[in-house]
Amino acid sequence: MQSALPSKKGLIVAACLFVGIVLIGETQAPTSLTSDRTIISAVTSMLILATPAIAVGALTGRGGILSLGHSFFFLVGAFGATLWAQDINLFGWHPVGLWSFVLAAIFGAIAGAIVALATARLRPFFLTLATFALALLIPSLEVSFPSLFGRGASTGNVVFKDLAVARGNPFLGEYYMAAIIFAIAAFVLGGYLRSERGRAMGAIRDDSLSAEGVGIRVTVRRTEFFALTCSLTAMAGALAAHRAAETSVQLVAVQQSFEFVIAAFLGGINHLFGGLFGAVLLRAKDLSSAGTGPSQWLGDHTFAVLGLMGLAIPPLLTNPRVKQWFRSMFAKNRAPESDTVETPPTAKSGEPDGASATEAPPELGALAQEELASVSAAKKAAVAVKDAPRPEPQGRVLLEAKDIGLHFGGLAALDGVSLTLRAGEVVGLIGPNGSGKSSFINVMAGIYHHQHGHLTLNGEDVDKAGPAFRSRAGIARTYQNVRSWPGLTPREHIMVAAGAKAPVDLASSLLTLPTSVSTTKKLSARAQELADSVGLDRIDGTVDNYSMPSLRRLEIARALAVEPSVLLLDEPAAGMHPDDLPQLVELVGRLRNPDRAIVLVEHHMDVIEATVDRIIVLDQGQLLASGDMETIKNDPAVREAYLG
Amino acid sequence: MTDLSQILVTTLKEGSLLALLAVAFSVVFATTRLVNLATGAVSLAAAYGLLWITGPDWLGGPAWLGVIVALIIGVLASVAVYYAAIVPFGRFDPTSNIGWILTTFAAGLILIEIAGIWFENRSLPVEPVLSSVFGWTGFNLSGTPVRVSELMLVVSTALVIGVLVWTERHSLSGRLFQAVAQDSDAASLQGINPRMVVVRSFVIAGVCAAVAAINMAPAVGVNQTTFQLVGFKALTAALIGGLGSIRGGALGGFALGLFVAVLRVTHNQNLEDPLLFAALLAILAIRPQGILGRVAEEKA
Amino acid sequence: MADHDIHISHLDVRYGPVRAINDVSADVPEGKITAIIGPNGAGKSTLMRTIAGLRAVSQNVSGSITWGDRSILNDSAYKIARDGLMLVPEGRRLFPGLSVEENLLLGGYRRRNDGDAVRAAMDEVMEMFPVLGARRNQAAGTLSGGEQQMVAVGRAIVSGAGTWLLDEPSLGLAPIITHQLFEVIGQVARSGRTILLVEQYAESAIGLADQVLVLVSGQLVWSGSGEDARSDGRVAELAWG
Repeated sequence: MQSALPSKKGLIVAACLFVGIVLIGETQAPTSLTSDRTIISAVTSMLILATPAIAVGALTGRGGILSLGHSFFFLVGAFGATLWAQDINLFGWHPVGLWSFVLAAIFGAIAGAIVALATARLRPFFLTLATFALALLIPSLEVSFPSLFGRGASTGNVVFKDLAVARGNPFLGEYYMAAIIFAIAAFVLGGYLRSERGRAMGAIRDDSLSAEGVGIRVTVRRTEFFALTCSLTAMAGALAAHRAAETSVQLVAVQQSFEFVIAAFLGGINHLFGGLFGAVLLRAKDLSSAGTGPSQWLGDHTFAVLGLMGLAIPPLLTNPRVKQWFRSMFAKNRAPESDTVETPPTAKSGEPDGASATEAPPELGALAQEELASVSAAKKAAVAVKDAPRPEPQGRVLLEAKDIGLHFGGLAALDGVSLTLRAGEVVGLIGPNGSGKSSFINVMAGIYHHQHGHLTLNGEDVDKAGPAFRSRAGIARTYQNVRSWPGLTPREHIMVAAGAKAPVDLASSLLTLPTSVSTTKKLSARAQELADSVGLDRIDGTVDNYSMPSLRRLEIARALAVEPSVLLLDEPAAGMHPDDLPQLVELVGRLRNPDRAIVLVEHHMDVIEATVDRIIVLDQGQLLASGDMETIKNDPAVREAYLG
Repeated sequence: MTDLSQILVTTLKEGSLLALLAVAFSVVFATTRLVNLATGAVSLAAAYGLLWITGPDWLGGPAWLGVIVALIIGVLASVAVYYAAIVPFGRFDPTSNIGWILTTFAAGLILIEIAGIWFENRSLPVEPVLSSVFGWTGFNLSGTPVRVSELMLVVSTALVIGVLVWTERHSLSGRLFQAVAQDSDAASLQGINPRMVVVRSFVIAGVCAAVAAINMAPAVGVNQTTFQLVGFKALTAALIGGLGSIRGGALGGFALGLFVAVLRVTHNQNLEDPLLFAALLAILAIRPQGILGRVAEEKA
Repeated sequence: MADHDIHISHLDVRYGPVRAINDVSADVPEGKITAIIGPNGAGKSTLMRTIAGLRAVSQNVSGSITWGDRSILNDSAYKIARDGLMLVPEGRRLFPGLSVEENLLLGGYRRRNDGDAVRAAMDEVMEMFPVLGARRNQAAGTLSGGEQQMVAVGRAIVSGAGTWLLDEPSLGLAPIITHQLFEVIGQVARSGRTILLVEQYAESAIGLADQVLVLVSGQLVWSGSGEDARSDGRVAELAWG
């Protein structure tokens, strides 16, 4: 998915649309009206739909959470406006109506936060079901508690009434209010999405596990974002209640949530203003004043139309061509994307492919020779690194794992593994496939929780701590199977990691205050610095076109961004061409730091030999041997384990 | 005693309907890991089928034909939902089953709309399919009347669920569902066609939905809101029992039936819907895998 | 009758930017054991999965694979398995919630109409691995790694398939169990089945194989007979990485 930041082009289109809406209001103002099925009220409904639609769109597009329950928060807003606000008269003058919107927003946020907190730890699928349950709750409420409903908003609550009356159109008041609410929603959402918090949401959406791994508090972020969209939806609900002059379930059926979602998808969930376009399209039929012909039919068969849209939109959106069009329309103005294609990882295979396996052995031999040659090239690079003076591994103890045991069902993944990591050293972790290397890394990173033994970090007990806590405490890692966030640019990857520990405060993020802007700038510069330090260029494209070595470098840069004292590299050479190994060896050599310990899991023995101070060997979840390279190489148990 | 027998009868009656539909949710979830929100609509389509054949304003045919047609329509509608709302979007999203919630709901709306266009009137009463057996119309259970049609509901439910549970436990084809659900790739490596298994689960869901419809339509009339609502209640039941387990779905259905019966006997039925959906929310928050469900571990 | 040999020619497999298999051509002769060795990440498993018809979403494949005289590159996995080319996948991939017996029964799904043969094969498996007989009704997910691997191999035996692809059967197993397993594999091969074996324990695999292929970074860098591989120490070194 693309980042949900509006492009300049998209912004201009949206601005034109918005101005157009306002102009419609102006031109229609003097007309005296009898029925409510008029242009001005049609545009008002568009805007009332557009507000939840952009909120739901942002929630889906940026948060990866599909909510079918926003009609519930719409209703909460309606209650907030009509049940309580009419009795609040703080200043004794007109803003009594405006207060109702503030209250609606607060109630919406609280209700949203409660729902999100109760369900945020759920997988997105169950979260969607939970929101659906909320939507179902609404119609049942009216049957059970009829007295709660049908409370009218006192006529005095309709905002801008005097202005509207003065301009000769009583519907103008709610029209202006709708426009204001939409503008607030767009501004606040835009600010949030552009800030550090919004980028973190993108990371959570794409891969919550690695997002937690860089220290993002996933539940907190999700709750906050969910509550924000609920709050904005509730404001729109408040206005709907004012318009209808009563709160009733008719305002908010199950289908209405569906309508929000459809509007969001119709306009595109990857763009902030997508919901506005969608709402305009959905409500376009109201613009024709007479209820005849196609618009009549559409009105009578709303379900079918909504249903067809629900079926048709997802495949349209996933169609590559349509996607491309959307990108060119809305995506941030990026450098031409085709340019970011890197040389494929196996560049050397460009030679004529006469070397097929079934043919004469000599040619195969040539390939094998080449392979051996590249291995020795890695060794040469290794020697260069090795000759550099190394700090004595007498640094302070950073991490201590004692007698770690981890079981899955009947399988013992780890059985009594111990390891002490000191500042300044690089430790190689090797062993056959399935020997527990990755499990051990996952235990240290907090993804798996060991059932036996103790893990201390800087002398502190972290047995129970989750990945986010451990990241904040100084453990960073890379993943055996690359875990990138495809919706974010490489620069944003590093920015998210660098900003996770201390996110900018919510208010400045929502209101795009200078703090938020300057934090973003600082992080961006920091990202550039880190990218340069690991030799990563072109960090403003998409990661889709990154080669495997670049992805590995990106993961290392992302890990460095959390300023770790313990760095876990899980098979950084997996999926790399042997030609790229010398560079990797050189990079790992540069990561060596007197204040940092590095654990390197690797299958390529030459990479291990070139980079580490000592080696520990795991086999079947147990510590088989430890020592320097020579000791390990000559250990009969190790040879046995490796060669069977 | 009247209260107790009333609770018993209501539990069996309401529980049977909910159990049937809950099993329809569960059996589809078992093979696909998705919640088919069109289940209520499929049931409605089957009810319209029954109405079309037996309704005096329509064809006025015999009840047995109506039952057969309802079953056929239920199965066809269920499979149609699979091909219209799930197959085309197999790769919709990284979080693909989220999208499926949307598309199955949409497919349900379309089904309802098609049925609505066909039968201009949306709320129609239906004659009971079975009102008497050799003139015997029912009996009294310590003061609570039990009609033959209600008996038929309980018996047909027991039959359908009994067959399903037996198959699940005692035949190779019952294992297929679990195999495909647990590891669809590994299943295809044994020569099992996962798509065939999934279609089969939709057929079974269609049968369950149709049996529910045949029994429900005479009691409440053919009415889209009621059918959809019962469908969503059954989802709650399925979640209580644990999505994906047939026994769980049946258990959840009767548990909810008991709950409803107690509310009715204590004259609190106006609280029924909000409590049910609040319960749904609570279950999702506390134990999304249900009572009989297992926790699926996420891999790193 | 070359019904069960596999020909691979100019096979390319890409995942997005990563080229997992790069212009590989090879023959897997009928009734023999062919071993593929190579370091981790060399594309061995990808090759096996591609032959068996398991396709990842983002995977692009070109080239050709024929089995007997039929092209199987575009067949779905279940058709290939149904017709008797059985992959025992990496990590065993049992149905964890089903019992040992049910797992084995599902292995026999492709000849489910021949109940006698399935029952006979099940008895054979229980005899071969007595420990499985004792754990007949235990859920497969609760077995130890070695026992799980026995079930995986047992599943292939019950299937009665003529062509086997074994992907790292030794994964996570103790040497003694690996040894036992290799004995069974040798036994199976002697019964006339075609076997393609992927192994990380290069020396054990070479010791067993009639033919050896070495795959490094998606390319075939060496191929030859088992004897050649046994006499040339460099072959094992290539796989060590």
